[in-house]
Amino acid sequence: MTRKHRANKNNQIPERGSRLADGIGLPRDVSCGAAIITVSGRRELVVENYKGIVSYDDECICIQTKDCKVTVSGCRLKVDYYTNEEMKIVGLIHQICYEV
Amino acid sequence: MLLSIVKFLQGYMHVTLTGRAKERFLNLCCKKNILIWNLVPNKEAGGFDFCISLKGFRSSKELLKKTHTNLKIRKKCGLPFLMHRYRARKLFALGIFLCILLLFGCSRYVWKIEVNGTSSLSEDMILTWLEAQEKSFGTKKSEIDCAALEAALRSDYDVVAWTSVKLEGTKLTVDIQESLPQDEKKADLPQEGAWDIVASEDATIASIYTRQGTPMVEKGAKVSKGAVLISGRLDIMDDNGEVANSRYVVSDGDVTGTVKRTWENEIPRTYQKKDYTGETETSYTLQFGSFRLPIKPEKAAYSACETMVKDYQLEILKNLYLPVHLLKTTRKAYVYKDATYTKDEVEALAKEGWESFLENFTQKGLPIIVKNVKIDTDETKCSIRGSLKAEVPLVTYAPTERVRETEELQETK
Repeated sequence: MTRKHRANKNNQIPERGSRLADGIGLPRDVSCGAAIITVSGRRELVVENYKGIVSYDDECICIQTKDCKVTVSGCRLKVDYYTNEEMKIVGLIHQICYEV
Repeated sequence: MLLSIVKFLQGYMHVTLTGRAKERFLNLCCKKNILIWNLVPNKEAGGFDFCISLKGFRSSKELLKKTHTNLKIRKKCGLPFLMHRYRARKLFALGIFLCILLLFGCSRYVWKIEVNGTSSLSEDMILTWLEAQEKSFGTKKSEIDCAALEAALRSDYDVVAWTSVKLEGTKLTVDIQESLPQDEKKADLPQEGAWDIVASEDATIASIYTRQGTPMVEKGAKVSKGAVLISGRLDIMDDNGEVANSRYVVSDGDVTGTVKRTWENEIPRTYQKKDYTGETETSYTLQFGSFRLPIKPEKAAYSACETMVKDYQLEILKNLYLPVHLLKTTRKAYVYKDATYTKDEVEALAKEGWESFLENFTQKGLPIIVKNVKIDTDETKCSIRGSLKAEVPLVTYAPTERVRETEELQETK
């Protein structure tokens, strides 16, 4: 099996899993480990189900989740707390971007 | 707030992270459950500034080696660092501990009593009563049963219509609502037997309303003291208009009479006036329970002085009073000098006395029909003579004379 075929097969597994989870009504964060991002206004953001910080400065924070990277850009960004469960980002948020 | 206290108790540090794989260090901390907060980039140092717990800092050494990073401590906060800094001052720590223990011990007793709502009863009466009940200053809070105290206060004082006793901190608050004076009169009414209403003084009847008994006088009649106004005997008449039988009751009714009252007073024009010399002295005394410690004692000796003492009790939190008082004593020296009232002054004084005499009637709601006052002022004195006519209640009770019993007695004789 070539590398291309293997990649296609890997992509199909979460597809099937998510369809099954949708079928039985399971939340996606439980079934697929999807990140939960809670934004309160423009100044507060809480991320759950993430893997780690990829890069961080006061204008951009890049966070790795299970299936994508989440980039939060803004100004005077600060991580209020950072635990295994969740992290809270405060500051003026301009945009939240998902990168596959 | 609670989290801040926990962080303070456990100890934490403000640190700067520098090196190659800073983000990896953060992620590894996260995986090892090391709490990081207030994470901000530090452009000058090329790393991150954050806070880390003392325990987390100790367990991060291995991670620092693995990620080729360094932690520079900027500030140490919390109890473990304070204890380390003051490790040589053990007695100071012991003193703090003993102080906390003393405060805890003191907070279990009553150190302040507040009495509210008294008018005919005085605050001193209530405090003396509480002392007699052994629930005064310095009583253990656990020994005070507020509901039992309320019940005892109501039963011991009839004038108390409602009361509330509550404990807040080390303060015992007694709120009292007194009943109206009319209620007292009702309590004095005889409950059973045969009773007449008789005149309490010489008067002219102004009004008579009978609820029970036989009225013996009419409006406008002149009565002397002791005259029967409402008889407690109810005569039952037969067809011939003769008394067939008699029934005896406690007579009940309202009888008012017009009475004349006179009032006179004489005020001398010369008097001894307090002349303040302007010398004042303030002294302070610290009082712990019954022990007094003068901080700034009295020095000057005045022949006559006015003394005013202000008591400030130590209150460390709201309603948490301690048995520590600061007494501020201010003394104002004065001498007596002979002085003379002017005509206006002495007449104003005389009128003041007359007004207070009238207040005796107006406060009780007794109508004043006529009042006359005459003021004579000469060189030596001011004389005031006043008279008034007012309607006053005449009701007093006397046992009813039983007719048949007296007749039988006469027959046996």
